[in-house]
Amino acid sequence: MIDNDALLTALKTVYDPELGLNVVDLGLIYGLDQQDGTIEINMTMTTPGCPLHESMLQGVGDAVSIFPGVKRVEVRLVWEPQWTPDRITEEGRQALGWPA
Amino acid sequence: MTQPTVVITTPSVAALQPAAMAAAPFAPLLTTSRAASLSLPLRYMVAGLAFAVLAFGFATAYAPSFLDGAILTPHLLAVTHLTALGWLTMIAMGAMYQFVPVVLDVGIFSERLGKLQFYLYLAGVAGLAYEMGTGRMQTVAWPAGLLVLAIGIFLYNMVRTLTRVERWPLTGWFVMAALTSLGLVVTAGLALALNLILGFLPLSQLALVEAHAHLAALGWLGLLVVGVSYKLTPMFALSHPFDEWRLGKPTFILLTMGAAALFASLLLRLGGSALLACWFVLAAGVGLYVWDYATMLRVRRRRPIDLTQQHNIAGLCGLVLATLLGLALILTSPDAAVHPRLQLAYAVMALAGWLGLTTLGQLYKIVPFLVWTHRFAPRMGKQKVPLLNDLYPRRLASAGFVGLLLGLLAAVIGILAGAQPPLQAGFALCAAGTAIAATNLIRVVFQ
Repeated sequence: MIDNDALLTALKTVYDPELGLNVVDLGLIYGLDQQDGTIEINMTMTTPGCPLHESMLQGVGDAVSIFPGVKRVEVRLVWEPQWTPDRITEEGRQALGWPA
Repeated sequence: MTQPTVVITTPSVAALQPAAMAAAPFAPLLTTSRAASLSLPLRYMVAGLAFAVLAFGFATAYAPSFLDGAILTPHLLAVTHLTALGWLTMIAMGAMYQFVPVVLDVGIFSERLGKLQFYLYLAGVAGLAYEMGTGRMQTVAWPAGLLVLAIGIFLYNMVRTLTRVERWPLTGWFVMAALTSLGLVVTAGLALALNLILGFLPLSQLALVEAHAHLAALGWLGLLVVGVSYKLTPMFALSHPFDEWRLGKPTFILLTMGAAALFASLLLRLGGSALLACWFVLAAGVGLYVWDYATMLRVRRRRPIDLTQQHNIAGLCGLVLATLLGLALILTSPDAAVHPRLQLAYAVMALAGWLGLTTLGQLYKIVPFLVWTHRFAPRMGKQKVPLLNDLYPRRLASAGFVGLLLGLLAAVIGILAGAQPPLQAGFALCAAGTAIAATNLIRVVFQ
């Protein structure tokens, strides 16, 4: 088993190139599961129609492929529950310039 | 060591659950897999930027003749068409080849037609500007014919594309109305060109020119710019909560009805009262749109106002000024000495102030995005990749924006005051500003 924090750290290297914020702090990662060398990730996008979705899904898959023992990565795009800015982490909010 | 398999699963429209449909009722489900190849939209954008610089370059050179009081002079016609066709429509068509597949979730019917159209259109714009600029109005039919052919191909390609769209967001309705307007614009333009030779129409040539120009700026380019902003602004600014349909729908109705009514009123010379009625409808549409745009910004979660938003906000100010100048034009007698200057200021503010600034601003998103997707997306998750706004020097881009903005203000003040020095200096500043934007963006493509 790979430590979940290590997986999240790896996912933090995948950025929305427009917002400059990583997928974890943006709150796009809905679920992270692993079993028998397979990592399953459920994630969403800030908006349907986001032209970057394929790049980001692939980037997420590639980011966790680096760990030893990983044979398969499944990245699922989901729309439920709908993403809202409330899912952005404190670090993300600061990066986007939200008032403290 | 064996590389792990990465499997990506995305829901299809058919598989979309009712709850997800409710969450995003009119939004299509993505995506870049439908997107046109990089070279199709980019060729239009590069050419459009070059024409923008050329248009302001010619405007600077010919500025002394612009205050003579005549509007339909060869030089002014050449500059106007370089702006409307070479700069704005060229970029609008390229943007649609990129934008329609992504937003409406449908592949372009034929990329080959899109590429063929580009060369015909390029030759048509260059030919038309040359013939007009040299005063050979009797021979504008050949480039006009090329343009009609190219735009006809574009419309055919788009109509075949749009017939496969399954769900229509607000932006889709604006796109459809803009394309309908473009069909009418090109028909009116062809009629104008043929009428110059054959004189077969029982309508005033000036009426045709005015109706044609207004439908091009407001119906084709204007509706497109407004529609696109309803998708891109909330997406980039993370505007939340924002319901695009609440004021977007009445805005759409008012602007489309106003544009159609204005076209008919100008074409049939229905008089000042009809024009005033059209103005009120359009001003209401503009007012609603400005209010809705301010709402998008007010509820944005991404606080910094980026370069694209700065262009868009300045463009909105241009739209409001053009609307006020339009009212001044209606209320001023056509025989008044100030009338031609008002017409010119109105045209500059609408074409360059509203549509030009907005278009350039959107290019600062679209061009880096296209290049990034092509060059850096495959490396994401494997190595550090640049952000979109790392792809161009931001300070230089801001300098170009400020130059264009100040140049436009100086030019319009020069026009209204009948003073040549600020007019010429203003256009020169605009040329420098657009040259910076063009250099910046073209370097993103070729760096």
